[in-house]
Amino acid sequence: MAHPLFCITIALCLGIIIASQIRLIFFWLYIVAVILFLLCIFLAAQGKKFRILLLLLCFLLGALLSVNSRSLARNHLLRLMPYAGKEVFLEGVVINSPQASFQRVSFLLNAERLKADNCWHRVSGRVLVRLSGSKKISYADRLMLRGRLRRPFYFPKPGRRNPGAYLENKGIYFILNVKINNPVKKIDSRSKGNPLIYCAYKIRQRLKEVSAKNLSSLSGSVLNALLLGLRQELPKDTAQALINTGTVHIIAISGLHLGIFVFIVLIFLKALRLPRLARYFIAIITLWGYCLMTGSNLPAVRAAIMATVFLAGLMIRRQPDTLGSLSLAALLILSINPGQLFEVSFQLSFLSIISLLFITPRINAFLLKYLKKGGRVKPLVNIFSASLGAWLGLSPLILYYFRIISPVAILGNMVIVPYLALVIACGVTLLLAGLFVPALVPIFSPAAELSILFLLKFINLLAGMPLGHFCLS
Amino acid sequence: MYQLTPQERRAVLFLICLILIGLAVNYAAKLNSPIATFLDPESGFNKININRAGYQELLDLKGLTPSLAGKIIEYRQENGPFEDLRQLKKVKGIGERRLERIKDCLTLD
Repeated sequence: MAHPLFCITIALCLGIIIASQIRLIFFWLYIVAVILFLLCIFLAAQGKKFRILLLLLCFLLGALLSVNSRSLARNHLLRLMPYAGKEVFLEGVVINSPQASFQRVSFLLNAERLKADNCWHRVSGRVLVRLSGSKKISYADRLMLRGRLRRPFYFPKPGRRNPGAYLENKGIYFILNVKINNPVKKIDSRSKGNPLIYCAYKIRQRLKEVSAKNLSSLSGSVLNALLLGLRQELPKDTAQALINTGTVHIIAISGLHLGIFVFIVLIFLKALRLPRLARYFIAIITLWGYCLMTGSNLPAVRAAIMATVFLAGLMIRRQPDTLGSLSLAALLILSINPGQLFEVSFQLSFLSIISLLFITPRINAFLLKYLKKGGRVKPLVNIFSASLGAWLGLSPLILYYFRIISPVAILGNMVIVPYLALVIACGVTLLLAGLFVPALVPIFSPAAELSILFLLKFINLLAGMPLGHFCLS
Repeated sequence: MYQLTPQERRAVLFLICLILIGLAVNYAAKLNSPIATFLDPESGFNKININRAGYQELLDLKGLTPSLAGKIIEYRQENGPFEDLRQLKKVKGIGERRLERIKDCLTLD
């Protein structure tokens, strides 16, 4: 029998897809949804009719969410300056952790005031700011900037995604380029910011300093990407080797990382002999803290929701329901921003779990059926099935978006995924020691350094394998 | 087809009700978001320094034509920095009315 939450999620996704293709009017859609809702209440006692009406209602809710997310406020920047391309003064609050690379700082600004044509306007909307030079900007700073405001337009290339559409799916319609000589005034710091996110970013900065101080630059950048979500610092050749070998998912904070992290936290809490409920409760809090610290990217949020449902289930002694928690994660993420459905990270993240849920068990059952000594090789068959299942599920999508197919990923993930647990354990121990007991750092840093170097050696070996990957463009 | 218990049905309908209310409020808030335009003479950041501003920066001022911007720069080069905003009236083409229009956007600091 189909899972109710999974059916509801599919109906919601269909509604979002249809609404993105057809121009729908919010008012009439809302009226139909209310009528359907009332019908659902009246027919709540009936079986089949209620279930069909509920799915229709969820479909309409998906369409409504999509139309609502694309409708802009009257004072939105896009309504005020539909064409842009001119020099403006902009005041707003930084809403993410600024990323510095190549003498440029990039961050998202929640615009509040804009000066154009000698007048100030109260505005709303998000702007991606690219600031030349190396200025010190932090999360929640209120800034006054002067720069050229433009729409994110890129010349379309065959077989490549349009970065403009990627930004618009995130609700970002403008880029502000601030030249090195333009004034940047910090009006206020920590204004309107979330104190939890502020603390999480401060801790991330401290951890980054620990890895920079105690590891080589290459290992430090890999550890920062693996554990702190700082992928920009990774050398280009290492990033390309990860893409070619189909193991790039290891630098995207996701279920694998969060799972290992929660496992380490639970072992530590068990060693402290805390009661069962307290252990799970603290693990959930730590999990969300870690998710915030790594920038709350989509796969991490998806994994955090799933892990929370799983741990809450353990707290009340319920069987884990992976498909239910996956559907709940999708429903929550899409309710906040329906545009995420068209994001590659969303599709890859959810499809990987769906592949592990539906394809892997079939491969596993098929292989075990033909292996007589199933008992001895069973762990190996399980790992192989998981790697092959995920590869089979994700390959069409990776081929479509990135024009690359990596058969070597099956072997690579069989070795790298279990080995990553060791790397993450060494890395977490080093970073926590650096944070709380710096005197212990020299004991832990060689193990972290060696584990990362072995990982890189293996990835480079895989990347150099003949017929390991094929680029189609 | 999926199955739902009566309690689950009630819970789902309650959540949908909350979402419908939330959507209506959110959409109405967007439709009625205030549009405010104002001058802000208190903040020094948005003012243009008449003694340091270049040609392009002076052109940002509503009420200054390219020729007037050029004349201000010429006057500055010949007579040194402005000591008072009213000194701008000595620039050919800037009268009392034009000065009144632009003085709130100018500073000497």
